[in-house]
Amino acid sequence: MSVSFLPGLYIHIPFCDTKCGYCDFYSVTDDSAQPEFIGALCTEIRLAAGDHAFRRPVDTIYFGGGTPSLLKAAEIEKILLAVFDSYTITADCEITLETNPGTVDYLKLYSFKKAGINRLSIGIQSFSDEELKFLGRIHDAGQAKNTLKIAERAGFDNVSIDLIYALPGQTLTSWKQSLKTAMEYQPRHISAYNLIFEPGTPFFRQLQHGKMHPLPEDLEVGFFNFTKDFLNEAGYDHYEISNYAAGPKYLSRHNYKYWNHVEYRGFGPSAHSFIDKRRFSNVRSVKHYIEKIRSGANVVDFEESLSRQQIMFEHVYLHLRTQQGVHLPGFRARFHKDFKRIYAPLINQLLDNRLAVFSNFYFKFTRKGMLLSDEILPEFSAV
Amino acid sequence: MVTTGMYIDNIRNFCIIAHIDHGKSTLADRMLEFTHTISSRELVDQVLDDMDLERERGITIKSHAIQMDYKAKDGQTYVLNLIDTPGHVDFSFEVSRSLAACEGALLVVDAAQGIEAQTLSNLYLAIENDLHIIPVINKIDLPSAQIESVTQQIIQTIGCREEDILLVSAKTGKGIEETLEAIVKQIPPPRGSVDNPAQALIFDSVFDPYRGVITFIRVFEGEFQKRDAIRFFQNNKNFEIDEIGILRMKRQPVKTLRAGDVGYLISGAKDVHDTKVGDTITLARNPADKPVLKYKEIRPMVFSGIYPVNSEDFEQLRESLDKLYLNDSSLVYEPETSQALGFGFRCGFLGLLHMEIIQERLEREYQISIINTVPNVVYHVYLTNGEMIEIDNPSKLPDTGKIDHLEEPYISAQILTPTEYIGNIMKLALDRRGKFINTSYLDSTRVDMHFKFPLSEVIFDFYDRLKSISRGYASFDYEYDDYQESKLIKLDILINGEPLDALSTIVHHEKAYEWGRRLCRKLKELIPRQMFEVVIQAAVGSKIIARDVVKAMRKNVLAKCYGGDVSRKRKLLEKQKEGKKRMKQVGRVEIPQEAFLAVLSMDASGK
Repeated sequence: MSVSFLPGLYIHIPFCDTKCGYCDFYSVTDDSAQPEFIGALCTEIRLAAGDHAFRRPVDTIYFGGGTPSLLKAAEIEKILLAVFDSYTITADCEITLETNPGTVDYLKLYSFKKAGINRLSIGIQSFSDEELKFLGRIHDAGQAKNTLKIAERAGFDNVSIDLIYALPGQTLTSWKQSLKTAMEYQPRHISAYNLIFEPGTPFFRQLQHGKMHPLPEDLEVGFFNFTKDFLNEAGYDHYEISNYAAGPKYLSRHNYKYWNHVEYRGFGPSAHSFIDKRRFSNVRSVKHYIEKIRSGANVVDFEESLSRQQIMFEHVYLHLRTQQGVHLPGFRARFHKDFKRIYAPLINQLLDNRLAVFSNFYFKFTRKGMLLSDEILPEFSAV
Repeated sequence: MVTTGMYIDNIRNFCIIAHIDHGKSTLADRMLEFTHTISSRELVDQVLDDMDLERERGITIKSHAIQMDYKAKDGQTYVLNLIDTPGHVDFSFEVSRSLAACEGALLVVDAAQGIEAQTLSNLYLAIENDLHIIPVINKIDLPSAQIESVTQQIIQTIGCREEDILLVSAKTGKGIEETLEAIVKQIPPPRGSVDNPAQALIFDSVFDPYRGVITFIRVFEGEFQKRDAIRFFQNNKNFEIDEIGILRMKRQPVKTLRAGDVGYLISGAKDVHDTKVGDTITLARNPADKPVLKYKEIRPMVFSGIYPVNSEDFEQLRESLDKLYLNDSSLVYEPETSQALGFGFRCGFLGLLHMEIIQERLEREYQISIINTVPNVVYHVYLTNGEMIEIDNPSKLPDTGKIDHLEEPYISAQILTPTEYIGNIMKLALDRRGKFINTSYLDSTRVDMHFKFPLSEVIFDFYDRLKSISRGYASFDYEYDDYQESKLIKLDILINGEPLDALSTIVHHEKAYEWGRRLCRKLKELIPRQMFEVVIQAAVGSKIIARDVVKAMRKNVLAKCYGGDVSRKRKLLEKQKEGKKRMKQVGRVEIPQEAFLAVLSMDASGK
């Protein structure tokens, strides 16, 4: 499954057992509305197919959350049925399910596989009990390991794991231990995130009240570099700021669409879509979402039409998140402009400071540049 | 119809001398109400201050006048002209012109605060101008009023009798009628005759976009009528009077203004530079042979560079300064260029307050983001070839080899303080290179101290420091003195090895090291971390005397960016770019506006 420019589908399942203190994705812990929700979701999918917004075949379907693995395999099957009825799906379609340890057993995973899921993204986060507790996860290290074992037994070859580092008080030794443990299970893909204090989360509030302190910058840089070196050594490609794959076959085809500025359609509360220079998103609340779908009302509550300047800026900033960077002929083909020329002074400054390099037909950040990307990227904006 | 003689006998021209917040405006409002010049319903608080900025700062920046009719207890009706005066030392010249237009003054003292330095210096100006002084203690309703001790202060200061002092509460209205009676009985009527060649003193002028320049005058001799050809003494220009009138709540046109009257006139004058405060107007056909007062050109004392943050705003800045200039005869400006800041203007101001007002008006009324450089005084530079040049910009100081010596302007300062703060004040004075002159006691608890200071030492936060070391009790006033020789050197600031001319200052040689150290530290706080190291150095000539480093930023990256993050993150990045736009790019370093005024925000302890 390599990178493609066909559109992808995202399906948001907004239910969790508990909410984790660092997470800013939309979810609720009350699952009483779950059956109606599945119905509403299928309705949204079937209605959207009717608007012919995109008729090209789709080669990724991504169940994100929330905790999609809380759903029964039959429910996943029902949703997929709605998708297959409404869209042309390629034979090699990547179908990912975000799965949390503590919500699945062997049989459930096996049924997911039977329902059509061919990639698992498992929210391991850490192999340290202490760190998992700090993060507010429902599982411990034992359950994390077990989930990886049963995933393999259930026949999943394409398994990705999420890990979080730079937790307050975390040492490089403990992080190295988690990475080493992960290696025992040979995941095909690893998302390794530096902990971010996202506005609106309990962690953010604790930070503001001085009750939690992020690691010093130098240490965070140390974690980033260590992770990159460790995983490169273990045979993983660092293909995006926080993402590593065991070869081009295993990078996340779905997520890569976001960085390649490829079209996607999102279903479910808070899900975003990007179709034909238009980005829009659904209402966040599950309750309102269900009500609106039932009454035939529009569930979209944010919408923007991107100007040419905005598209160009997004194109640049998203591509620069990836190891490949901006493809120069591709940029010219899309915008009829010479990337090197329109950003000449900025590019020269970045080259002089070894923050970026040209490599074949690409312009990309160096490691140093990648770490400073949010400092550099605003300069590409036309504001 | 009244005869001319009777008419002039019933005019009283007066002003109010008071410290800020001692109740001048409230007292004025009460008098307007009492004389039915204005009803309390239409009374917007404090009629005399009509600019937003003035209200916020509680300072009357531009003087106006207002006329009221008062039927006194003797049965006669009097015309009272209240001429407002600016209360701040920056505008002391304007105060003196306003005083010259009056025969009397109310000295208003807050019952809880007592006499302040500013009040005292304006009082002395009034006494010099031979004004009759009516002492008034205001705010006697305050629980904290100390009527007895304030009475003693006033008696010691002006030598009046206790029963001459009026006790007033402008807030409750108590004592207002007594005050009006005192004005009528005690202040002498104007002298002068309609038969003499006409003379009128300009005590203010403002530019009105619809009418042109409105000139506020006090007629001393003769009379002026609509269509008269008038002549300004100072520039010898002739204009025709389009409109002449008196100042009620609004301008009210009349046919004639006669000797003794206060009013306004509108002529063909294009901007306030033709109608300078302190100048005399006469009639072209029968001119007076001399002016009312000897005219004195006021010279700006404090200079600062004003630059647009965005270089494309330069023309807009020029236009805005041009507009401000129409209404401000004391503002001077000329274009200059800075290596660091590009094109801008070197502006001269009467003082720090005047500077702040101009800066605020540029930002607020004209909406230009500006950077202003550290204010400085004008130095006299004596060159080895015997020549003397004036320097109003530290970066223009010639090479030390060419300089024989430097002189800087001094001020005579007067500080009024409760006795317990004498020690603190002496210490502050020493720190600011002050020379102690003398002390006199106002009463057993308050003392009047005199110093000479280099002006450059008081333009930085002196007033704030004085207030903080005296718990707000000490007050301060000054007048310009002469130039004196000082051992001064130029202190340069280098950013990554490049001199930043806009941050050059001239300092006393003994202070250079300390200043350099503090300035570097302050700049380190103000300059945000960038993608590379920023080295800040202070240098005297080629010698580096202080150094600080803003460490390079190493990491700023969001961990995740998926489908739901794209729009939000784009907006975030765009906002960041907007924020950076407000900084000035000097070489590769982005420097925030505040950094150019770092000197002003250094606290005394240097922390």
